[in-house]
Amino acid sequence: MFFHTVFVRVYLFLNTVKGFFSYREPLGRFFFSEPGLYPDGSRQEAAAAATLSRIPTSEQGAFRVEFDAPLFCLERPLSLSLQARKLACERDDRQLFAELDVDITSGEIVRVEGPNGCGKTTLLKILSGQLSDHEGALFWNGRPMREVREAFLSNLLYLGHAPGVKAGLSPLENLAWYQALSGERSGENKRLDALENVGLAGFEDVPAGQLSAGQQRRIALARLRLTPRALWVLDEPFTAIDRDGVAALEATLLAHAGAGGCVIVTTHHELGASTRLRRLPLGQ
Amino acid sequence: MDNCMGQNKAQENRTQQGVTSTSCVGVQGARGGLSIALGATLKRDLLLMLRHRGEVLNPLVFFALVITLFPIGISPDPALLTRIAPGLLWVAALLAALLSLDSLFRGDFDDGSLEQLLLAPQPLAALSLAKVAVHWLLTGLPLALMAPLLGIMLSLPAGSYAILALSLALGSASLSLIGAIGAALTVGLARGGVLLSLLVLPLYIPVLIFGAGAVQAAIMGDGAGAHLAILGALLAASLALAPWGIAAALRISING
Repeated sequence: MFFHTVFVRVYLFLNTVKGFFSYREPLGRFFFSEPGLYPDGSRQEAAAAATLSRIPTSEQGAFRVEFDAPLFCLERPLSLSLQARKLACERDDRQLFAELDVDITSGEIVRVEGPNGCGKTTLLKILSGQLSDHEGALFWNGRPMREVREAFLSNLLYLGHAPGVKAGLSPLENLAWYQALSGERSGENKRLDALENVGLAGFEDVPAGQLSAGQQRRIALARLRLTPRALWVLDEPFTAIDRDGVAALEATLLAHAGAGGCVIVTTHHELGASTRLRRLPLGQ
Repeated sequence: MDNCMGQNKAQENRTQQGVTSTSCVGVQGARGGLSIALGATLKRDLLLMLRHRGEVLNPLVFFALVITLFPIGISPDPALLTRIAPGLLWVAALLAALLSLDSLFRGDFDDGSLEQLLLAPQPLAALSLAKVAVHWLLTGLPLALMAPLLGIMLSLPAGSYAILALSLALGSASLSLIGAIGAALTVGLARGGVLLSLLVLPLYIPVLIFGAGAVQAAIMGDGAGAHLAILGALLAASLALAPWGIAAALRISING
């Protein structure tokens, strides 16, 4: 169990400290973090800060470790930020945007707005690290994208215009590939849950090509539930979704932001008012 | 330590409850599970190809038809056919392999899976290698296995069948790898097929020379070992270099 490993690490660390400093009081605070596997199967960075002291009454020099609660900052993960500085992009001799600064941090939903053809999709592709022919720089958690690309990608979930759903595969098989791409061992229950969540229960084994456009879009949306990713970049996710689906998706976005994630979304659908929602107008 | 253990137990309980009850969002750590991603990509592509049997059969039927045309069109004279058989078989197999290259990344590009492949937290070179492997398994390998059968039709001496199959198996793997770079470069273009041939065919020449040479040597009774060794070397070189080329080409195509 991952927690156990962390504990053993702490214990070993304490023993080393004991050897070096022989009971100086208080032994002080330390902070450590390590990647590991959580009970729910997600891979995350665990961070802990603790105060270390000797128990005065103990003869053998036992230690007390007081962890700053909570030990695992799940609800508030190490805070995330995606920054873009002085973005400029030109397509076919047309300046889409220039000198654009974007700041997104944990708990925010940023809605990119603007008329058709103003570069919303291009901006989303730049922010998700797909396009490189643009001016300006991207920073993930304060570090240049070039250096932290892999860490960025393992936190990113991008849904583009095309849903990325194979017509020849069933919804379950489609999701299995996405699950494996993020390095997860197959968990069929998780996939079934995700499909049920987007209202595709009963269609698990039907080839996606036989499903409607909205249902295919729902397969893609099931990925939001499938793998825990902090940053969601969604290009027109409401396309072809029915009214109930739209409400559910809106709730999902809010819940994700509420849990400390970030969402960047383009949509012509009017999102309900929320303090987490921020607008980013383009093409003005 | 008891005290501290107790505290930790309490923490652990609390943490686990937290984990199971909240839909958690976390900062993911180091990447892992490349083998899982590779296995799943192989499985997915194989499954897709096997569900579209036509795409698998097309190159094979093309190969068989082209080879059938030569005795009809040139002459049924066995001596002449034996002389030109190695070249014919190799050129036809090469064109058949080229025929199926265009669809290597096309489907993924059209439905958006290619974007997702590029955004996977796994090395793109490795993932594209998995796709090429599937292409070889379902095109190059069947072509190599079918070639001796068509060799009979061109009155190829019995002793050279094994060399023919082996040289095609080795060579077609290089062809798939090199061709995939071209396929990746042209995937975003509306009519990439012709351009793909123009890009890739010149690069196929060394493989063709040594592949047909191996079969020729086997017919003459000389050892084909040297030719096969060079084919192996070409495969090793393309295996080492092509994945990076494919990955870079895919990035360019997505950018365009």
